[in-house]
Amino acid sequence: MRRIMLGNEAIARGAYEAGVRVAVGYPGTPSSEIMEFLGRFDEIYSEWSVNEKVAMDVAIGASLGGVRAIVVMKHAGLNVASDPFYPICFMGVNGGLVLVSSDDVGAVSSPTEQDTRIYARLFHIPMLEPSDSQEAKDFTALAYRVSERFDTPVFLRTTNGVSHSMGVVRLGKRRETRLPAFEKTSPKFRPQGGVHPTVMHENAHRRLKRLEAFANRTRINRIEWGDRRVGIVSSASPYQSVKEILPEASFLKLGFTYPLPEALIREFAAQVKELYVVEELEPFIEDQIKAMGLQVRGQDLRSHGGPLSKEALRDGLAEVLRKLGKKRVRPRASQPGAIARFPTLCAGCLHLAVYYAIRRLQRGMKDREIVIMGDIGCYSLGIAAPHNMLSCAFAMGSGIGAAHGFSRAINGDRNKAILAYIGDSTFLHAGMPALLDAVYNQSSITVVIADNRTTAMTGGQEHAGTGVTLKGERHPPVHIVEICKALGVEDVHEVDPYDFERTLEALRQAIEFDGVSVVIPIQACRMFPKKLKEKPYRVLSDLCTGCGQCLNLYCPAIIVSDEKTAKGRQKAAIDPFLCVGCSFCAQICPVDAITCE
Amino acid sequence: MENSTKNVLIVGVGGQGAILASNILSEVAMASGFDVKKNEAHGQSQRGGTVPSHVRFGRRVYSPVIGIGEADVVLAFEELEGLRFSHFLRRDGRLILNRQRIYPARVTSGIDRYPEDVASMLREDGIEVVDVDALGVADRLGNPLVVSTVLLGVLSNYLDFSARRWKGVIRKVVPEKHRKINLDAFEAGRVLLRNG
Ligand code: SF4
Ligand code: SF4
Repeated sequence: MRRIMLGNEAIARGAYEAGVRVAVGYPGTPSSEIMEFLGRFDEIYSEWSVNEKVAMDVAIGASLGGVRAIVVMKHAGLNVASDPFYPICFMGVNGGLVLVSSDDVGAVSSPTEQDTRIYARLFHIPMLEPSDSQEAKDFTALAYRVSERFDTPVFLRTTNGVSHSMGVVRLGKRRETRLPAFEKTSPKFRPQGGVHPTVMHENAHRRLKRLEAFANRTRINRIEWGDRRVGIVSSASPYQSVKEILPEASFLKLGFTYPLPEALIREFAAQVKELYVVEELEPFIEDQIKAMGLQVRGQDLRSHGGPLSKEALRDGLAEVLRKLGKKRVRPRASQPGAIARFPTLCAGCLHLAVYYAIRRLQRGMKDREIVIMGDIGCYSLGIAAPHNMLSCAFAMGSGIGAAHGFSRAINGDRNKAILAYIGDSTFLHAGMPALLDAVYNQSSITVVIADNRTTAMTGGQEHAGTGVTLKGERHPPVHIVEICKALGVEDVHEVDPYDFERTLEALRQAIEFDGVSVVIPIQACRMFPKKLKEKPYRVLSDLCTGCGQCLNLYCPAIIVSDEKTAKGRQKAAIDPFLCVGCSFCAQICPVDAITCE
Repeated sequence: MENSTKNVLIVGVGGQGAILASNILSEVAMASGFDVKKNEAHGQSQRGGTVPSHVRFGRRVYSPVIGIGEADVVLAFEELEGLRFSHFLRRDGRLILNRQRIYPARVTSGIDRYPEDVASMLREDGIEVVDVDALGVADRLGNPLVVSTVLLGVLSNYLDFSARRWKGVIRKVVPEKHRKINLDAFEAGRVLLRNG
């Protein structure tokens, strides 16, 4: 049977067909859908773990228990998971263990653009890189055979170009695997007491030699002979792009990209006149080929950042195209009038209300400047104009630690009030230890934990605070208020952010508190898990004085109308399709011109 | 000729249904025996951002992404997005433009100005523009959400798939209770231009 599948769905399907029993991960674009698809298979136990490190621990435990396990995350998540992953890469596995890490090339939804291929080298483990949905499925299944045969975790790396592309996939059947017996005192998982780490290191290098021999003969590394004047080494989605613009060239298509198949590369290089590497981000393959002492071009023809578009490829390979007699058609120029459309906080979003309250508080506080250390979530959309709310946002849970460090740096300077702004899912992910650290070390900061009851930025996944698991089962949720109290926070305020006065008052008290204080505004996300919409509000044009108060909220539903007041100010209006009826703007209008009657 | 792949770029604003439309087109192409690849934007684009969805089909498709100057058809659900992606068209390509405007935050907050008359701007640039009021049609059918199916109806006039094939896929992917209105919307889109 053939089906059109998202790359992420194909990976889930590949894991299913390979007989995987345990799947764990943490949401992150572009990887999130893999877990969502895995969750649909009854045969697979699957969970959203609280963070990637824990997910990795769970997957490792499952492998030790003798079943095939998959652990899924995005590039930034791999940084979190690297702590337990590094040792296990040297120790080996019991049941097959596959790590899927998806790189957000182009940083569509990430604070950084990162090339995780380099981890394969650091971890000393094999890496597979599919270039479309069919390969995504096939390579996932192959990864388990490699994992068990070579006693190693396997790294399956994708990028948006594969994760979020669809292609036709031929389906296969699930194969249950026989469980390797679990040995309670296996020396290989017990460093110092068992195999010594230096021996493990030695073994890992021996394993790399055997893996390289495999890389040289596996079918997923293959030569496609064409015109031998130009030889191109490529992998993943860049292979598809370059294959399309230069189908007549000779190709060495790599699916197994670490360790590289040196013999195969030498064989290919010897038979082509000029050798090129076409890859995205870091010169990962190129540097290794150069280290083999071969002449190759690549990085000098392209940029380090962003996806490798066909246009960039055509520019980079202009000389080659000319040599092979290919003419370049000049496309139209882009239209100058096409103004940007940036993603924004949604109409009625709780973050709009909280940000507004913070700005109002600041206006009333002439002597203290509010500085906000941000975090990773929808609220990071508040970094840009017109909000300009956050001074930073770099890693999950880091805002709290950064706020604590910042407050120490200014050393009791009362002219600044230090806030950390974090969401519920991020707090549960990595905010808790940071909050404990701040309490234990007697910091003086205010932590705003904006609880929208979901993991919104990645599409509305459940977490420990929602009380629903990936499989849709309901359990008692954890309470963030109670967690904060248990961590030793003495000043905790729970508020409804749509209640403007109360929110303002809670923030004021928290900032005045000497020590660590927490404000928890709770309101469900307007978009996820389902779209919330109540009767829209509207502006009574006769009453509107054009003061612009409501516009300062930056709710996308509130727009400037064409109507003007006697003094020539523009009145406000509300787009009934966008407004979700949160009532916040009605509370802040000084002349009660906003109503829902 | 670089290859025989057909390229349809569907663009809109998050929530308009451009992704569903591109899924339907992909299914129609696969049911017709073609290799199909598709690429779409996920993540932040859902928060009112631009949503481009690339659909490519042919005997053998390599890259899922349509390059600048390669699209046979750009189907724009919104005027500004039509303008933004117009240079993806081939010289002999065609832009189907839904006359609907969704103002970006920078326009509502007064920083930018929404372009005046997109269709004329593009025609002056020598682009063949087919402009339609799909929202009006959808409203008349009783549900503004079927805009995307109306637009697929318009699109179907410019691709070589039979109406039966399109309707078969729509029947398959649309839930029972919305089936009839979507089939009507598709038909209305198909005849929209013929009736002027
Ligand atoms: S998705 Fe939810 S949390 Fe994110 S901006 Fe929209 S309403 Fe706010
Ligand atoms: S009630 Fe006001 S603030 Fe709330 S969504 Fe509607 S326009 Fe926006």
